Amino acid sequence: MSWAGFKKVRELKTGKIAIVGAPNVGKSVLFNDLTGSYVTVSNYPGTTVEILRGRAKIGGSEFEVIDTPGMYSLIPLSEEEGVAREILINESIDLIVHVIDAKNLERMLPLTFELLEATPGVVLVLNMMDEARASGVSIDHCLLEEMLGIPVIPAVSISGEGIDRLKEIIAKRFRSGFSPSRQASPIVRYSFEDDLRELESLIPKERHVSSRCLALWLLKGDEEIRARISLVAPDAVRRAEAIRSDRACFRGRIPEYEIAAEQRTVTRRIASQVFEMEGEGGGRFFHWDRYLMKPVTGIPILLLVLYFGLYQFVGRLGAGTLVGFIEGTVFEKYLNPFFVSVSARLIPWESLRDLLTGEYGMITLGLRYAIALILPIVTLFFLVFSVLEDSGYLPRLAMLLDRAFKKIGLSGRAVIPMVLGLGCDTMATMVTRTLPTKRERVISTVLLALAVPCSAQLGVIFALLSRHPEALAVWAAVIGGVFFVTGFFSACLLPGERASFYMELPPLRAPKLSNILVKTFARVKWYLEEVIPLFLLASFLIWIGRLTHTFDFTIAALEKPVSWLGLPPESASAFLFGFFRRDYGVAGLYDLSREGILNGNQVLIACVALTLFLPCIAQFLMNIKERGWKTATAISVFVLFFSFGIAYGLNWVLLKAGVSL
Amino acid sequence: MKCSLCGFEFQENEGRSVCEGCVLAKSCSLIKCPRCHFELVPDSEVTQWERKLSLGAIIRSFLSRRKGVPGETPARAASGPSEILKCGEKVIPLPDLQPNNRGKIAGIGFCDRNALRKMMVMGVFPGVEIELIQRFPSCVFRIGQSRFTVDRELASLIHVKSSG
Ligand SMILES: Nc1nc2c(ncn2[C@@H]2O[C@H](COP(=O)(O)OP(=O)(O)OP(=O)(O)O)[C@@H](O)[C@H]2O)c(=O)[nH]1
Ligand SMILES: [Mg+2]
Ligand SMILES: [Zn+2]
Repeated sequence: MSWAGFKKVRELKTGKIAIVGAPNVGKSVLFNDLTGSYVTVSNYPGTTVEILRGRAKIGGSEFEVIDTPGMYSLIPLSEEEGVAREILINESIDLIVHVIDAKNLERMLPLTFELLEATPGVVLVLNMMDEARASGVSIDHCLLEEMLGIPVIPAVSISGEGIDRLKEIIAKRFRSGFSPSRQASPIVRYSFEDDLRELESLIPKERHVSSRCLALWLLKGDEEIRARISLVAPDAVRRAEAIRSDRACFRGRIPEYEIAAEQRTVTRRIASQVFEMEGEGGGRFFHWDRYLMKPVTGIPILLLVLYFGLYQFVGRLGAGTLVGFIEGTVFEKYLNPFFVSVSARLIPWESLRDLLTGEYGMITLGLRYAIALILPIVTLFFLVFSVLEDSGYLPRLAMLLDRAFKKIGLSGRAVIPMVLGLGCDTMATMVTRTLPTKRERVISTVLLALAVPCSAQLGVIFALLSRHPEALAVWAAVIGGVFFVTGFFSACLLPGERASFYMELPPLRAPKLSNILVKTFARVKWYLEEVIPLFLLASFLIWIGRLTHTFDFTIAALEKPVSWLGLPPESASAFLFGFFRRDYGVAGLYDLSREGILNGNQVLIACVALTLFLPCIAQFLMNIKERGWKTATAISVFVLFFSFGIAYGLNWVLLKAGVSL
Repeated sequence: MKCSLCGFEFQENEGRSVCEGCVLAKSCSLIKCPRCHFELVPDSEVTQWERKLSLGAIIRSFLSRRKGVPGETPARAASGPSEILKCGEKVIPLPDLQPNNRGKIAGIGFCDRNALRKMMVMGVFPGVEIELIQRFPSCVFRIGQSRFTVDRELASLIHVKSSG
């Protein structure tokens, strides 16, 4: 029978393989190996935050392969961890590939038990054998195979070692119709086995997950499972509650912890027989790690990374030199005149010419902004960024900043989405799923929408303000201040408990050039796909607006609020662009400033206003998807007024203080 | 704790969860009985909890489990974690350990379910060896081949047995 609460998914004729395991063990690398596609791989826990599906051809047949977000156990600790379990419950998975980090066998084996309790079709991949060997670990995988009764494959997914054997096993399993290879005798026998058996018998058979596993989840007190089972078997839920409260109150034990501790005892016994370790381990860059983690050296290193990585590389080289060349030379000198003359010759209609190559034309404005301004900046940014991600620097940064983030209601875990937001706020909003409480997710969504500029914007701002270092400093101080003050107040306003911080620190790893290049390429491609249609659409809408005269009207309407900020009327168009995307607005400023229309103060004010301005439409849609439309709209309205308010205040302060930059 | 009205025994966080949604919950120190919602004054809650969750409970749970579990070899049981302190040993919260020193985990302090789950994820179980790497700005510790960073609040929940 199938349950009312469980979504039915259409069966596929071929096999379905799910890759599951703890965060950062190399599941996505394995997925890429099997499917030949590319999903993001980075050296920090929580890279993959959604289910990704691909196809793989193994032994002549095609399989559906599913990459899942990492999970530490089948009872989720944060939003993204739960989706892997959903897959196991709702879909008929033929084979589960459980990937573990070989050197952490003892810690990761309990999840294998949990998976085996749910379904017999599991294979275990001991990944990162290269690192395990380097730290003196040897594992008797044959004995482990025997003890667990499932295939165990030592592998190095980044070099392809062990992949062939995995494919062989998948193909063999497929030929045998995925019949379970091991007897259903449980590996872990719990001290409350009698209670468990009794509970098991109360739960009706379910297609994808065994009753024993459901009974265990009930005993662990999983709310979601409880709600689902109470629909079909309320007795089971009552019995489970009785067992739970009996154990909790009269014997002073918490069932969930007890279950975990008993699984631990079994893993310890298994590990003592199959796992051997000589030497201390620690990884290749162990000694560097100290300097990254100690604040005395860690903070200066952070500043160096920001200065060289962001300011020099992305700002000066990307937004200054590269953009200057592509925009100033390639576009202004060659491409634009070329297109203008071509369209003048080929297109007889003035207004159509205007659409393509006019002042706000699709080619002369839309494409130029996308390719001459956004592309070089975003590419360089993602390059730097990939190096940081793959080295394992981000978890260290999270550790360093945890205390500061606690002040704004977040934990160090939120550092990762915030830093990702510098790349693209839309992407980062999705990563807020890795935060454990709703409160943290809302606060970080607000901050991403308001005070975290994305790479394209940041690059142009560096280029605009690099001629006035004091203005850049004021800009940074204002944005930083807004970030912390907004965070502080939203933390005060939003109910909920204090965030608590825990995170695994992966070893520092040498970034792989191929991964950096592929990742950067994939992201730049994605970014352009996002940006170009929108920029073209903007040109198109402006064109229609100009034909119908609503454009002039809108500009005139914007001139008033813009003049309150002490800006010249010409800058109204930049703000209009800003409504399409923040980075489009800043790109508009770039043109104005080059024409010498804005003075130092005005560039600063406009940069501040547009940094804080409404994020792009894509992010608004993402906010709706992740937070619901009410929260999303509230955030947008707040951001709109707040950004103007801050810019107005800054202008006032600068005027009163008589500063001119 | 035990409800003085109906005699129901429950744990403090169960009682607190009854008050979820109450505006005053934060500033209020009273605890409601989950069964009858009678409001109780917490009686030296920490010691209550220490007794339940920490050393004692864990010793008891380990001892009682050892007895009749099929599949457990007695040899493992004997060499398993024993919580009896030797001379000169004391139990301290993890952040009180000197950096680069090791200790054996003795137990976990009074905490809510989420914190406990984090402990399980990190492999914080009694008898496991733990090394403190750094205390500031956040605690960093190593268990086996994995390193974790936690804030001070979580770290203080980990009680370690230290010989120093
Ligand atoms: N040395 C070594 N590194 C590996 C191996 N497999 C993966 N890695 C590295 O481990 C890191 C994490 O890999 P991912 O594939 O992103 O891990 P994941 O399991 O998908 O992680 P989440 O998506 O966060 O759950 C990357 O830096 C990889 O380069 C391996 O076999 N050996
Ligand atoms: Mg992944
Ligand atoms: Zn009562």
